[in-house]
Amino acid sequence: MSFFEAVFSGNTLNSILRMSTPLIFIAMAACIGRKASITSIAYEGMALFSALCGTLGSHYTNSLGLGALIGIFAGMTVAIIFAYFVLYLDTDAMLIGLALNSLGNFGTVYLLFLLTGRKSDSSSYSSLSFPNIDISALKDVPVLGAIFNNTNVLTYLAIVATIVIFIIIYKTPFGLRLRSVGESPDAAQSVGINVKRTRFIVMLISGFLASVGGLFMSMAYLPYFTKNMLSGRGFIGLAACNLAAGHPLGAFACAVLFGAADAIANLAQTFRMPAQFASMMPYIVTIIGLCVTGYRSTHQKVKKAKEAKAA
Amino acid sequence: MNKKKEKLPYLSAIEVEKQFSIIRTAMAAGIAILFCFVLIILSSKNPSQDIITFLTAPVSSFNRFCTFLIKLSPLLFTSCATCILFSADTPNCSVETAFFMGAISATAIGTIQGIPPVIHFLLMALAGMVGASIVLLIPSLLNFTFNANILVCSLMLNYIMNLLGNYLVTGPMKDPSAGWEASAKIATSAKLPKFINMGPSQVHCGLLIGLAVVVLAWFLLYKSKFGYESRTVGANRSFARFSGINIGKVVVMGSVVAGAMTGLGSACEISGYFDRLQWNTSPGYGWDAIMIATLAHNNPKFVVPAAMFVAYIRTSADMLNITSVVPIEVVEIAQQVVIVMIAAKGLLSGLEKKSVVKNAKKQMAYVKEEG
Repeated sequence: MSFFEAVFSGNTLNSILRMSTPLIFIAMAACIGRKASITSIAYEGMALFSALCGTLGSHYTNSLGLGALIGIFAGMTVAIIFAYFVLYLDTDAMLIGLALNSLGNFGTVYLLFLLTGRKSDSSSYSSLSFPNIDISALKDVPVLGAIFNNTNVLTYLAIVATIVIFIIIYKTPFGLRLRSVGESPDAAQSVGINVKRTRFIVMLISGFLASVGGLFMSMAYLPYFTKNMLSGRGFIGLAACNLAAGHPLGAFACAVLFGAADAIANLAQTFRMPAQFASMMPYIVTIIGLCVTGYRSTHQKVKKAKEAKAA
Repeated sequence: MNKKKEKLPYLSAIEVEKQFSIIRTAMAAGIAILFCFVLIILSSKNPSQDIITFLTAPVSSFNRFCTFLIKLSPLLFTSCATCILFSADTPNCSVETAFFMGAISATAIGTIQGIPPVIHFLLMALAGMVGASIVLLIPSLLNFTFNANILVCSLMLNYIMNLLGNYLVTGPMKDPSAGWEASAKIATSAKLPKFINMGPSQVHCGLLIGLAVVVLAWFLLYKSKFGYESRTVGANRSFARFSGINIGKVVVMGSVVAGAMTGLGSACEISGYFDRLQWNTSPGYGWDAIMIATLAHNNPKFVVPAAMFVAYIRTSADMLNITSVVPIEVVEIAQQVVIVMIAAKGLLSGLEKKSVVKNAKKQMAYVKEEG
């Protein structure tokens, strides 16, 4: 089978969806945060803590649900720390974001060592994973069958989360409030919206989504936690959100695009490309995405200014 | 005007602000050390012994003090580079891999045989500077031409450069006769001399060059036109633009200068401390630099004490890593705590306001008295 045949096979489409899942969750977390104009980059830290605590939680409680809850609780704790420092202690969001990400990197290693005595991974600790689901009705449909064959339950949840976040942002009173807070906090304040509380709630939702993304890494993608297992996915998800200017459906598409880069990189490794160059792919695509976003936003500003002049 | 300023019985608002910034920095360092204690106690089998090691390791013997100095040297370069980048409000975090790439390009020159001694080191330093500058320029240029988010760009670039460096060190640059994954030996003509050379206790001249770079960085940022412009851009971009500062030029210049400093640091590290390049991933001096620059409020004047603090706890942590089971991550966690504490401007803000009010009242009373 040639490389290109491999790329366009149903299996690849399935693995694209799989690689996109954590990116979709984090992109959704970033979208809702962006709409309330919170510049958080701490998603990687949240996801790492939830990945570690989720998998070890399921080991100790021997229950998938409880483990997932522990993981989500851990991830949301990071989100709460972030929100409290940024909203109430006037902290530079970029610095605390960087700090929390590094804390996620090293803090999880420390916790892992404390609990298991090992620093690289938790593979010696049996833990539970989210199951894969087959949709039997789709089994014989040519392309869809291959895509949705043996797909993880969290991947379906990612698709649901996209729709839910879209509805929350654009179709609910809370969404209206959060968008007004994002566009003009002073105006929102003047009509009686509690800006800080709204942003705090948004951060909680964000933290929840990023945590589920983390759970996918250690409880579905791999059956155990490994050191620094997010490897930049927190930022790639963020870039997907930026590329779509914070629109959930667009961000979903961008996340799938970045996931495709990831999946094709994995595939390229089996075709004798040096592993390092293959692994660069998602990051390069992300940088290109950032350039496109930035270029478009300045272009729009110039265009608007010209229109304003003409009028 | 020339009259010697007499000591006033009150502090101005700016002085109060300065006072509290010092208090906050000291508090952050204190809390970080407390954090270390807690983490050590949690993970240690012999807590009291380990805490003593942690506090005194770098000064417990001359040899360890030299280790501390060796650890300090690369941090000076990367911290100054970060100060220059951050003071123009360009959160370019690629210093981390710029150092790695600088080391790789410096090694490429350093392993060539048959170049006269001094010239060889200068060529090696130049190669390091070019390598590191190119890495730091990428995010800045993308930001300048496409308005791409510089922070995320630089973080993504770190991943790419790390992989590229890993490929180069384990692939084309690997010396098969070394026996492990390392480059060929650095030629003796490229080696930096040692200024402390007593048996096992050796410190290379990179430290002295580093101190010179700190002075240079301070001069550039606070005494030159470039520094004034770049601090203006950092404080208020719109103001800078309207007052006729060419922002793109300032940002690009800043990246080149920071890259040159980083590259010089990596060349010194490779030629002074190592025989061969043996990192297969970037060594982390760029991450430390972010913390040092935060601690120093982007002012090179405070880089030396801040870097000494970091080098001190790093040396301690290395010692702990050898003598006990305490994981080295303890230090990394404490560093992040310092960053968060210093970045939290709202911390102690109530006390600060009170102090400003108190001093203002004193001032009013004083003015009344003097007439």
